Amino acid sequence: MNTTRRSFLKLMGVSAVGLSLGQLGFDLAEAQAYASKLKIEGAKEVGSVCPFCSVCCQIIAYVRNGKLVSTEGDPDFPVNEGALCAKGAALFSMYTNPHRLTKPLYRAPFSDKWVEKDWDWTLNQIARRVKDTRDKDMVLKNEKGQTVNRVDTLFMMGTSHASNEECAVIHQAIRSLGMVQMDHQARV
Amino acid sequence: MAAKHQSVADTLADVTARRPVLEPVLRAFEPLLSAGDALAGKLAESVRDAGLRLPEIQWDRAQQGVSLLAGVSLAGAAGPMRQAAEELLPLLTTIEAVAPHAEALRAFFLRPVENPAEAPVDSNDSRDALAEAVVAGRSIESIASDGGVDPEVLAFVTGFVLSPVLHAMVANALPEDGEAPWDRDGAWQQGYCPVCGAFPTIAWLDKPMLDERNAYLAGGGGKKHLHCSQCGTGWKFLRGACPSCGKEASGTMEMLRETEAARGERLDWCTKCNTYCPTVDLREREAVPNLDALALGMMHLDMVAARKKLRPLRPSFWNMY
Repeated sequence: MNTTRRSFLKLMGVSAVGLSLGQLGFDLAEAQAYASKLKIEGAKEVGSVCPFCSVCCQIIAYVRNGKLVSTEGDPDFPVNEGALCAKGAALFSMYTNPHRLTKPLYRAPFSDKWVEKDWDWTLNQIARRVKDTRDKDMVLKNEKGQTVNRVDTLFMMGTSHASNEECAVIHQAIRSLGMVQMDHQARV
Repeated sequence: MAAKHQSVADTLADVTARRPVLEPVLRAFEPLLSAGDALAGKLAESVRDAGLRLPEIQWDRAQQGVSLLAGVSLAGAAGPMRQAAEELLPLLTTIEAVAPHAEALRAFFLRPVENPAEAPVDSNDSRDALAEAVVAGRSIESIASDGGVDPEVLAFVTGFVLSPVLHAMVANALPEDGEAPWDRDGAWQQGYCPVCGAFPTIAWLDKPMLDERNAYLAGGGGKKHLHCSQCGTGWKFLRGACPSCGKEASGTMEMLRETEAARGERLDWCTKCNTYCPTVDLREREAVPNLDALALGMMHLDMVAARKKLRPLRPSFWNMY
């Protein structure tokens, strides 16, 4: 049986609809040609969770060809009802902002210039300086003789754009070095 | 500040300005849609006088997905339908394919309505029966045959004539302010109309609501509402669920839109059952369009959907190709 779209709809029990525009005498050739030339984009709606704090507001992520194309608050989630705080609203830029640093930049003491460095140099510098400072200032016991294993002269400056999971890893890493001073830039 | 609501004429003028190619169709239906829109208000009194009222919503029935008019008699609809037909038939019969049926349609819709007090007990006006059949989704072929009208023409015309009557019933039942009874406490969770059981013709995503107790952390808008063109009911629905098959899972729904100048117009379609519903995101618009008019004005996207083998959630005269 040759089933057209219209006959299929009729089979679906929608004969009560009646006549179509074509049957009503309208020539739709021009409109069809227009529609065929339209540039159409699609995206899948994927439910997700904002990664920035423990409120865990839900978001709807629009994904096209496996890539994130936009995000918005999920209006059906009772906590945020579609809204997002300033951080959550900027979630999309976490992945796409053209101003994100993609290479390490180094500014030497008393310099006013940032210089691009490679990761090997940067990681070696960080490791060297952390180790030197830790070796010099590590406090194993306090005045009462209690074990504290801390280094007060190192400070961890995080970012408010780090996700819960990233924060957990960073936190464990710096604690393991004995660092106790930490914060992120949104509060300073 | 409340958003401005556009009339049918303003909505279609806005569409025509952006898509002149649709102008012949939109111009032809503008008087009809405008008249239908105005009739809903005019019929409020006669609908009430005819004893046509929506039953009170019952929580357990709503939870089971039983719409309010399921199994409800529409005896008395003949009067308001006749009133609607008096205004709409002159417009409908200007359409090329309807014109040859003008006499039969007038005989069917405009004959006098019997006074209920004088009518025999077993009297059954075929316009009442027609209204009940359309709302129940039953075949109208025997009614059309008895009335000497072509079934497809009768179905097309009835869509316009019955709609203002049902719109008036719904408007009479709605509270002046506050939520509709079917939206209260998530009473209704189906993708079809809580009043008449029809599938929606269009959906809309609402604008943000300012909640002064929590101005920045709640009420961001984007809540989906479905709109039934048959009775004018709007109801809330989940963004991530398909109104047709009810499948609810992340990634079930996809959307299609014009790459540029979409102005919030898009199609939301289900990757499981391939049905779609035109949707307008009011966050991308200043004024709220007339939804019945906009559904017609988005027919270019219906054409796109047809080429992608998608099926309209609510087949209508403008989306069957």
